[in-house]
Amino acid sequence: MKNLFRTITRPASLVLIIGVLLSLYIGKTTPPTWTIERMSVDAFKTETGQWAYTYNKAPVIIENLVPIDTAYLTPQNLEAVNAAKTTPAITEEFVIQPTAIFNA
Amino acid sequence: MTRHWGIWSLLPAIVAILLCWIVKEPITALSGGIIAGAFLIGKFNILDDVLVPTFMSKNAATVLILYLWLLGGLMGMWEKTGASKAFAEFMAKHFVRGPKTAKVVAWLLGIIFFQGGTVSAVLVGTTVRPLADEERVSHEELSFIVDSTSSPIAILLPFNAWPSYVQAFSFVGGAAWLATEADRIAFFFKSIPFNFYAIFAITSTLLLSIERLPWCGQQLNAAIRRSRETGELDAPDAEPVNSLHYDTDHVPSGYRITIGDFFIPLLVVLGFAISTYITLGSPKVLWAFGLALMTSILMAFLRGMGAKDVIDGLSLGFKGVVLGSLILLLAMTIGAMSKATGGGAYLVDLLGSWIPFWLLPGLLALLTMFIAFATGTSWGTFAVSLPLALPLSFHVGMAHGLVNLEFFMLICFCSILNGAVFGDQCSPISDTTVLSAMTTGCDLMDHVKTQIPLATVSMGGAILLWTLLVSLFA
Repeated sequence: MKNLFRTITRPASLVLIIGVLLSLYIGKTTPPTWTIERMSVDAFKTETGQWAYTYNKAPVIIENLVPIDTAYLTPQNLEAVNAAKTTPAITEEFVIQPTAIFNA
Repeated sequence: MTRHWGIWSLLPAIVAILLCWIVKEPITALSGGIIAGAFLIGKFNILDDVLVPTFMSKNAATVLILYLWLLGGLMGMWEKTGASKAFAEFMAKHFVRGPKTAKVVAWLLGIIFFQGGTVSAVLVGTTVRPLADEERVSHEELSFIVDSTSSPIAILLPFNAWPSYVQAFSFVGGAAWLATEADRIAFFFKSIPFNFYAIFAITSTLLLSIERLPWCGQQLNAAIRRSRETGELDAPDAEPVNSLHYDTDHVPSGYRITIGDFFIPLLVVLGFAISTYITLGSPKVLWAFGLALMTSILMAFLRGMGAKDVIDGLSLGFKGVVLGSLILLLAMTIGAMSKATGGGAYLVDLLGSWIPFWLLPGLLALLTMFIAFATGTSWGTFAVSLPLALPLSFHVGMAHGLVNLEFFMLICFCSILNGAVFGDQCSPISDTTVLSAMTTGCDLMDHVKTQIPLATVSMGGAILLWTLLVSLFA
């Protein structure tokens, strides 16, 4: 018992125990805040008329491309999601803008 | 998109860094941080939901094949054939005339291996350590030179994978100079002369090598004195990450040691990496190391070494890097944890757009330094900070009606790039930091503590110059 107490009260054990318990508590009680993370790619139309971008020198077809005006993952929508403390319906979306495509 | 838990997003990194400082042992520290991160995002089955998905990724498989099999195997073959010892003796005879020249050789190799990051740290550390040990260069000095030339050189000579990676996070709507992929890569190359931290880091490392640096911090000074006066390469209480030693004890009797066993595989690595970069657009590092290992084995066979001895050599090398591979996998896992908890996104969110424009480069540098230090990855830091910080710099510049907005953004871009490189270089949970300590046989925390003061001075100078430049010319 004495040894157990000595082990638990070591600085490293205390950091580990407090850190893990705190993480558990925060994860259970605090909803996360959602923010936009953008990645841009140069898109082009393939011979079959589909939008694609080049990755590792090979074309990758972009599925479910939406115009920027009808995008779901916008700052306004995320503000509403964060205020309601809920989770967004989707977490990734390809959006087309006249000069580039975003992967949000 | 990404999510964060405010200040609590930094909890896994804080737990890992605190444990690293207290226990001076990276496996415990990284494991503690991973558990904290997993609990925060609600993944309680750490084996199935955290470790297995990370370890089965392409990056993890590459780490295992590259470091455990190919690099470990090559190091083992160098030990079995006595090649490293032969290299050390060759350099000692022809170039090295004491600790200064040994360090200059390390610095030069760091510049030559400009692919950056882990590959550079591994090649320079393993190559130079035997001759540096011979010349009484402390492990703290050597690991500093190895670490301080690995990532900084990658942004000064960016003929590597860095520009293609970074450009993907650098689009800003409305900034014509960042409109296309080619524009963004050109922007990266334009930034080279303003990468002041990298320039200062490389220069101060050269000055340290030739022992002309006026100040290098108390602990590094003590390490230099200790090694020169007593021959003790590590501090008395040091626990080096790796205990691999090069000696001729393992060379089979009758096998003639030659320097070719060392140079030819090394030339194969460099030649193949550079030629595939030129012809294919990206260096094929796995192929390069694989071919070098095959060359080394073939040379040993042709010169009379038996299959049993070759396998013995390979397993010697595997044993030497198995702990390092585990640390690398755990460092990758905590990097993924930090991204999942959103530590970087929170820090960028926190700053907002209340900042005066001339303060922005310095603040972005501090922010990315902190993110990279906490997460141990410069590339992860680019991914979380560039898409938020570059548009921020564009809007701040527009709001202040700056005449030279492109130049202002270029300086902000440099401060992000260099801040991330600094944080990655100094973080005890970064793979390059671990590898620099591992390959030079240095205690991890001794390496971290001795390099932070010098790196901080370089970064202080860089921030001052960026601030002056945007104040005068933006």
